[in-house]
Order: sequence, then structure tokens, then C-alpha cells
Amino acid sequence: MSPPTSRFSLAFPGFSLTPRRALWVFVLTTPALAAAALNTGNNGLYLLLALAMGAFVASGSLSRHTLRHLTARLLPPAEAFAGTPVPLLMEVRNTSPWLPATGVVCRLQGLPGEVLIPPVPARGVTTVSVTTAFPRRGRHPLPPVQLEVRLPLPFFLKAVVVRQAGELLVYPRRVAGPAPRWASLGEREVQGMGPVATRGGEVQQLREFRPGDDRRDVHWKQTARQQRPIVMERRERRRPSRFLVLDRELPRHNDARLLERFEDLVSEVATAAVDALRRGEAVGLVVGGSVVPPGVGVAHTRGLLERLALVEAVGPGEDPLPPFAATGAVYRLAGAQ
Amino acid sequence: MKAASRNPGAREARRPGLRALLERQRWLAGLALLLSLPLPLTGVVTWPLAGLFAAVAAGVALSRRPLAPVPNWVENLLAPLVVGVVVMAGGLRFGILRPVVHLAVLVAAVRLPGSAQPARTASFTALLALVGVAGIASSTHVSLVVYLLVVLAVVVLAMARLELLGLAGRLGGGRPADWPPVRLVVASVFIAALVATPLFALLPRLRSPFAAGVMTGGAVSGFRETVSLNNIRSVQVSRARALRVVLEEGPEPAGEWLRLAGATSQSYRGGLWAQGQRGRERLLPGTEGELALGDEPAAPRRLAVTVEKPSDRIFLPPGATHVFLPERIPFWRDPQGSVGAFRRLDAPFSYALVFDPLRVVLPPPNAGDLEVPEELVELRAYAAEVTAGATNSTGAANLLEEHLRTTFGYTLEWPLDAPFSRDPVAWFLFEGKRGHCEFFASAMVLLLRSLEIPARLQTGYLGGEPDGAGGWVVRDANAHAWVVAYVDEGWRVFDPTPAVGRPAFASALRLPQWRLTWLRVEEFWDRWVLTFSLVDQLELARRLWESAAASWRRLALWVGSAVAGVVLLMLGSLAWRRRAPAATGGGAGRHVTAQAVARLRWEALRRAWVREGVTPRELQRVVAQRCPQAQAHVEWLVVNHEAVRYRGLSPPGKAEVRRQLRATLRWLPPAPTRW
Repeated sequence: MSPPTSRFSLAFPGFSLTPRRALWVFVLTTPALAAAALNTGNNGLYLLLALAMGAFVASGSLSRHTLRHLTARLLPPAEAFAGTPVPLLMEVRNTSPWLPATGVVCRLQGLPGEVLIPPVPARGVTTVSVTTAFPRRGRHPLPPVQLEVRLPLPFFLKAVVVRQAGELLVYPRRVAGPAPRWASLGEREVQGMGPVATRGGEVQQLREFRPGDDRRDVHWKQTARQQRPIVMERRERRRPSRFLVLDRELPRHNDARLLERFEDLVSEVATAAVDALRRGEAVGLVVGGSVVPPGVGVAHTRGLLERLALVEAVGPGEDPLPPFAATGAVYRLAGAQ
Repeated sequence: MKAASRNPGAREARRPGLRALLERQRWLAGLALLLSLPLPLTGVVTWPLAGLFAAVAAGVALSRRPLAPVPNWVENLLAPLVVGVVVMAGGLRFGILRPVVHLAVLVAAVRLPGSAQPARTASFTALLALVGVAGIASSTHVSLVVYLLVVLAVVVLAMARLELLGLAGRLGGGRPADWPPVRLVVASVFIAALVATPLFALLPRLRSPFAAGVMTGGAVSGFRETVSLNNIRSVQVSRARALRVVLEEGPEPAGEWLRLAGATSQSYRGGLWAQGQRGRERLLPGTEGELALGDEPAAPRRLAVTVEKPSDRIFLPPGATHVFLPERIPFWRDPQGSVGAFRRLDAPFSYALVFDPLRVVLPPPNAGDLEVPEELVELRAYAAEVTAGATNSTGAANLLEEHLRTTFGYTLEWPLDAPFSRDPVAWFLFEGKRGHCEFFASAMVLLLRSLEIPARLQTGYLGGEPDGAGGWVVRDANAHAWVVAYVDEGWRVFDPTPAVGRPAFASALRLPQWRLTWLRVEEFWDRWVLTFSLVDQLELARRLWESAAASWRRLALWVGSAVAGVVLLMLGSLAWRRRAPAATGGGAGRHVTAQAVARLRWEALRRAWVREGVTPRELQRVVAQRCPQAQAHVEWLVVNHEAVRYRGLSPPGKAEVRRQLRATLRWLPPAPTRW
């Protein structure tokens, strides 16, 4: 939902005012009341008129007070994929020494996402979660937060924009695409890639402990039962090591349509990588001339996604694929070569 | 399940949208109840209609489900009924306001069910506003201020709550709507009252203050130049302020001495005491504004009178001999003794007079004082029967006065069975036997005249209540009619109205302190709110200007000081704002955790344990070394201080910080007296 816009919105240093329906009712009825008071000389009406105008002033000053004492700070999420709803934590602080802030609405400027904040006590902090979605991958500055106050009398919607420091790296969009195109590359062909060595794997047999065995492989139950040290001999698990190869050269660098298709391509690569990594498979990535060896784990996943979040399309010949990768299954725009 | 099926409305109300609708309906009905409160009290709406409206509002407020609007065909059927009720309640006979408010109240009662629906809320609120404004405009009691503040508080609460309900419905994600904080509502009302006070004094006024009691539209108590027994219907008692009287010289006379006549009438025809302009004598006050009406009094009293309502009459005690007027404008005096100006004088206007409480000063009687309409010949036999034992005119008048006081009933209600074809006085004497003061006084004048005793009808004010400042306030409720009769070679006042119908006169000497205090409050209210006028505004401005002109140096000093104060405040505020983020670090915890650590540092400095510039961690180590028992408390303080100062976390509660600080200080050894 986008923030409400009005033709009559007035901007002031530090805040903005958007008139609401109650204001127009007030503007229409107050002169009528004033005319009645002036015409009759009835001091009861004068009293009512003065109190109505006083209420207008009171509402303005109190809402301004509330707004002046509110600050908001966005806490970036651990990961955010483009086009996917992501909850952003927002810390709203009320520095007013005496007045709680109630009915405050927070909106993210330039992004979808708005939330009604629970009452913030005087000199207190409330943390809320606002769900938004980033349209594109890449580096995004944290969006400014618009704080809106409507109480006590809803004559105006008063808003202040709080700029946020910091930025957020948004990973590529995840798509339900076709089957991944894996490139099977020889291990020796990939520079810097070592053998996959892990302690995991199925137990092949139990045998007596020999010097040099890893003590972590001791089978304690059998050791206790047989009264001699027994170790588990494991069959080394070999994880498949597969690559995703992305060609970032476009035949025409400035073609908007091609760039859009390139984004889809990046999304496909990211989705394939994340799915495989979540299944526990080792995944390597070749983007242009740079190669990321296969790996598993959170840090590796994050590294791949960061690489894909920041990848840019280039013109022909600017960043060719390595020869050993160029011949296999490659993510490449059809007709690019 | 069975209970839910028996009460589908309650089940529906559990749905969020319907809950909001139900709450809106309750707020509107509650507001309707609140706004209907002054309606019957001020008389702008009759009790039955106000009761009906309140009953509908209470029913809607207590309903457990959102009510649907009354169908259109039912509204169409009710429309003629509503008009009929308005006509039966008096129609246009009492002015325009009363039927309009009656109509608004009845239409609002019909439209109250279903008023919570967004399409109908605006029209219903407009109706409610009309009803509310009518009630407020016709109120004259001091409690109006409290009522207005309560209404404002309820309106703020309702609007804020409904706003929060709407927000919760759209953005709350199923979370129940919050209530506006009490502090917000109280602060709104407080600031509004604060702003409204000078605004009330500054808002421009063109007309003289309009006593709100007259807004009832019906007949109200109050002075009228012309007495018409036929035209008066049920009389509302108005507490609008009419006069203020101060006895400036002479002791307070005994008895009901505060009697001020505004009109003396002689000619009676068919229920009407007419006042002609024939024979009016033009009087021009002397150089000091003095008008002489009679001889020097034997026991003079000097009275200052301030007329608080626009009027062309000069209200005088029956024994007034001299009047001192502020302006040298021409006045008239008619052959019956009334005194007035040729034009209506704006209120307030003041004058002084000298009077003799033992005398009645009126022009001598003439043939007109003996006139009795021909159709009232039956009065002669009646009067003769009543005064059978009297030996002289005074005795006859006393007997008549006593007879009327004891035999007839006093009422302000219009006798519905009074025929228009019958003379009101004859009806009063022979059939109705009840009425208000004008019936009593008219009957006695005509009965005296049928006994060949000259008599006149006087209308004005009787009695008053002390204002707490040495004077008396005379209200519309003090309006009265009485008789002056020429008996035993002199005019004398007779008051045939029973005691229950004679306005009370209270002497300031006999009142308790709390009553005097309340009277002072009422006096302030009457003087500075109800009757606050353009004249008061100009007078206020004049006094301010004069005091400014008289002491311009002091004024300049004051203004300079005020400006300097404002500038200093602004600079201080600016400095505070600039300092605040750096000092507070994480925010609002400085006043608790940082102050606690600062106090601890000061205590350590007093004991020469540390030097200036010691860090909180060093302080913690030193204190823990010196007082191991305080180790846990001081660690808690320092850890929380760092969390607030450097990590931006929320500060702990003030009470807990103070408790930890006290626990730390308790273990510190006594500090040296000099350090």
C-alpha cells in the first residue's frame, strides 16, 4: 500500500501536513458558529467557539510534540531476496518525557510496507516488524521511514521522514524456473579447488582401534561391551561437485530488454544454487572470468548470493568465460552468441 | 452453540468490522446522551421529548449488535407524526428555535439506529451538533464550563478511539485497537481551555450579550414593559442577570426593600395593561446628570444600579426622589411615574439614585386610576364581599391583599382550561383561582378600583441575591408585578402574590461563608462570562493602554524582560537539543543510569578513592574492592549504564536503578566532612 498522497499536502521544515476530512468539517462549521455567536451575542456560543479553536490548537501542538519526539531505526534483516516479502525490524523510540505516542503509523518510503505501531510509552522504545519487498537485487540504501501521527483530533496527518544510515544487499529474486543447468567440470581444471574431505559418511565396519585413528570415531557402546577400544571405519562420502556457469556478456549492453532477461537469468542461477545448497550439495559458480569453487554451508551460500547480487551485465568480450567452462551447460541469453 | 444461535447479533459482533461498527454506534449514542443532558434543564426541549430522545440513545448505546437503519417506509410514516408532535409541543408559538430543536431531536431519535454506518454518520453528526449547540447556547449556569470541558474530553476520546479503530482495522493485523492515553486527552482539554480563555475575551462582539435563557423560545421570567395576561403561556424561570445593585449610603432598610419598578401601568383592556406615550414629560438631566423626581427624603439611601440587559427603562424603587445619570441625554417620565430613555441603551449602563424606603413617590392619582372595564362589573360585588369588615381604604386594601394571598394558588404553568373568550382577571378570580404574579396584581388593582380606591400596576424586579462583594444580583427570575394604591392620602405598595411566588430577597449578613464563596463564583461567571460585552472589551483595552501609557518605562522593562526570557529559553532549548544526542548516547537512559553512575563517582571522589576522569569500569573495580558487599549492585549499575550509553538499549526502570544505587550507597563507609 502506498502512502496517502493529497494535493493539499503542505511541507514544512521537518514535517509535512496533510489535511483530513475532519479539518474541512471544522473549517466549515467554525465560521457558522462564529456567525451565530456574532449575530446573537450569546456568550455560550462564544465559549463554545473559543473552546473549539482551543481544541484545534491543542490538537496541533500535541501531535507536533508527539512527532518531534519520535525517532525510528531500521534493523536490516539477515537476508533479503528481491521480490520476496521480508520483515524489517524497526525500533521506534519516544523521547517525550511525559506523553506516550499512540496511533503512530510507519511507512517505508519508496517501498511497500506500513505498520501501526503499538503505543510507545514516554521515554520508551517499541520494536515492530514491517514487511516489505525489494524490487531488484543489488545494494539498496535502507529506505527512509515516514512516521505519521493523527491523534488527538484527526484534523491533519502529520508526518516526518527519518533517514536511515546503512545499506542492504538484496539477493536475486528466487523463481520457480526450469531444471538447473549443471556444468560438470573436471576437478583438475578448476584452479584452487581441493578434494572434498569430510568425516561424514556411512559407517562401513567396526574394528579395533589402531594408533592414528581419530578418537572421535570411537564407538563407545561397543568399546564398553567388548572391553577393548572399537572404532567406526567410515566410507568417505563424496559429495557431487557441480558448477553453475553464468555468462554475463550481452550482445548489446544498453538493450533494456536484454538487461531484463539477464536479471531473470541471474534469478534462475541463484535459485538453482540455493536449492542445491539447501539439499547439502556442493555448488560452484563461474561468473564471467571469476570462479568460485564448490562448497557447502551458510558462508558459502552467502558468498554465492552476494556474488550474484552484485553481478553486472557487460558488453561482448569484456568478461569472457574461461575455456573449460565455456563449452558446458552455461546460463547465457539465447542468441547472445 | 445454542446460545450463539439464539443471539446471532452477538455472534456477528465478534467479527472485527462489526465490532468497529458497534463501537462507533455506542460512541454516537453516548454523545447523543451527553448532548441531550442540558436540553430539558434549559427548557429548550420539553421533558417528554428529551426523555424520549435519551431513552432511544440509551437503548442504542446498550445494544449488543450494530443496528440497522429504520426502513425508509417507516421513516416516511413517522414524518407526519414527528411534525404533529412538534406542533403539539407548541409549534411556532414560542419562536423559531424551540420547534427547530424539537424537530432535530425527534429526527435524531429516528436516525440514531444505523447512524454508525459511514453513509449516515455525517448527517446524524450534524443533527447532533445542532442539538448540542442549542443546549449550550441556552444554558446560563456556571456548570456550563464543566459541561463543556467534559464534552470536549469525550469528543477527543471518541474521535481518537475511532481513529485508532480504523487504523487497527486497516493496519493492525488483527491486533485489538488501542485506547488513546489518558494523558493525551487531559492535555488536550487543558491546552484547549488555556487557549480558549484569552480567545473568549478577544473574539469580536457586535451585539450586547444575549441572555441565553431567552433562547428557550418560550415565555421566560423577566421584565416586560407591557403586561399581557392572554399572551403569556407557561413561564420558564431564567437566571439571566438583569441588574446589579449596590447600597452605597445609608443602612440597609428592613423587609423587602429591594423593589425596583420599570413600568407603572394604568390602562387595562381585555387582559392587556397598555402603556401609552401620551402625556410623557421630557426631562433633561442637570449638569451633573441629576433628575429630581420628588422632595428630599427624610431617611435617604443611595443606591447604585447597573442594568445588565439592553433596555430603555430606568428601574427605580417606589420611593426614588433623585436619579443621577451618567449621560446628559433626554429622558421621559409618564403621568403614571415610569421613567425611561427615548432610545434603547446598550448594556451595561449604570446610574445612581436616592430613595426613601418609607415613601412611594408617584404623580398624584387621576381618573384613569379608577377605570374598570364595563364587563367586569361583577368585581364590585366580589370586592365588597371580601372587604366587608373594612373601615377605611387602607383596611380594605389590606383585606384584599390578604384574601388574594391566602385564597388563590400560585403557578407558572399556563392554565390550559383558560378560555380566550373570557377576561383573564375574571377567569382568575372566579374560575381558575391560580396564576402568576401578574394575575394577582391585576386582580387586586381592578378590585381596588371597583371600591373607588385609585390603584396602578407596577412591574419590575423584587429581591435579589448577594453577589459576595457587598451588592446584590437581580436576575430575570426576580421579575415581579405588584400594586401601588392611593390609600389614606398617599401611595402605598401592596403585594398580593403569595409568598411562594414572591422572588426571594437574601441579605448578605445572614449567609454562610460557603454560600458567599459560591455567590462570588456566580458573580464572576455572570459578570465576566454571561454578560461580557463589547463595552467590557473596550474597557479592558482602555485600562491596558492607560496603564501602559502611565508606566511605559516599567512596561518597556517588562517587555524587554519577556523578550530576553524567550530568547534565553530558545537558546537553552537549542543547546539542550544539540547536547542531548551526544549526552544521551543510546537515548533516554541518561537521567537514570548515567546519573546513578555520576552519583557513585561523586561519592568515590568525596572519599578520595578515585580521581577525576575515572571510567565507569575503574569506578566499579575500586568500589568493589572497598566494599565487597556492594559488588553486585555496582556491577549492575555499570553494566546497564554501558548498555544504554554505548549499545543503544532501552534503559532499565527508574525505580530499579534507584534501588540498586541505594543498595550500593548503603555499604559505603561514611565520607569525611571536608574533602
